[in-house]
Amino acid sequence: MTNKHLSETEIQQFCFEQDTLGNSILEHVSKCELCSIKISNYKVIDEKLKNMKKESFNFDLSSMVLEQISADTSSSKFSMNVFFSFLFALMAIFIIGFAGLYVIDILKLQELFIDAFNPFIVVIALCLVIILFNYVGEVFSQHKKLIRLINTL
Amino acid sequence: MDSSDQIFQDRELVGKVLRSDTNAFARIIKATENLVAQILFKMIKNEDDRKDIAQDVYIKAYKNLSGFKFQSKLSTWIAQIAYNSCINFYHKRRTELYDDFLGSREEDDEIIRNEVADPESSDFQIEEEIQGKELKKILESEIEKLNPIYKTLITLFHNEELSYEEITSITQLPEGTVKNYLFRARKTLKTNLLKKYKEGEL
Repeated sequence: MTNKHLSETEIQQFCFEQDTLGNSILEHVSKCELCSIKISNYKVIDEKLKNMKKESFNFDLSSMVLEQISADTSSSKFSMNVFFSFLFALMAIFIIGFAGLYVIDILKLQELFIDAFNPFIVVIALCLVIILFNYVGEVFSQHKKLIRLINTL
Repeated sequence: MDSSDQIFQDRELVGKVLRSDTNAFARIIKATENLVAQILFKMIKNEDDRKDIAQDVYIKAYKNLSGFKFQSKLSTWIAQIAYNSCINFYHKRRTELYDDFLGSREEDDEIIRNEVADPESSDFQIEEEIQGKELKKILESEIEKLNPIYKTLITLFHNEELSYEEITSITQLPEGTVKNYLFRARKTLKTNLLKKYKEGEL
């Protein structure tokens, strides 16, 4: 058995990592009042800390997070839809436009078209209308989702 | 529940979330938000900031869930995101977390030096001198005075009863550093309690 009092580190080790200490220290503690008091103080603190009230959020975290995830998903879907509509329209302009020019060239119909009715302009206008409809449709579905969400709150 | 059961349950829940089951993610939030709250309450003082960070933690977790490798419990991984988010918050705000921290370490070193110089310094039995309820209150206020990292470590170890390994995984601090910080924090708490009593405040 050691007669030397335990250091602060050993006192804490005794309280929280007892298996790391040798027998001589354990024996000293069993016979030393000063070290026992120091140990009991840490044990009291540990016990109070263990029983301390646990903090918790005063709001519904899961609903807030799920709403945000759903909004993020919809907004990324929304931008993807607009992007693909645009891409589709652009491809349509080129395909229909070139096809139209080819047909006009073959059938020698150039004189029938004045500038205002250029097939390219017609195709572009049609594509813009498609994109606009798609956009309005998306905005409307977003709005409906939002209303549904508000109603559930 | 032992850790293999926990990891099995985690795998099942993560699988469901990856198959777009948002209810499974709600279950993950419910199961882990208390641990996240413990970290956020100790690291962040302002309630609005806490609210923003709490949401941010789970959005990050959701976005990175496919990269979770099950090397730890899901709760530990989410707690790690929470702890890192708090540290990033301090970095962004350029708040003096580290200056305070260094200051408090110097004070602690002073306390420890004094203790080493006088190993037979008179401790008295805290419980006998201070009544239970009062001691709890004083301890709570003394914890609040600690540096946020000390507060968090004390809470994770004593209140949440996490192992050193789990705390190391959450904070990404070496185990020796975690033990050293815990030692300083406990020592500061004990010394301040005894000091308060000697100064006649209790």
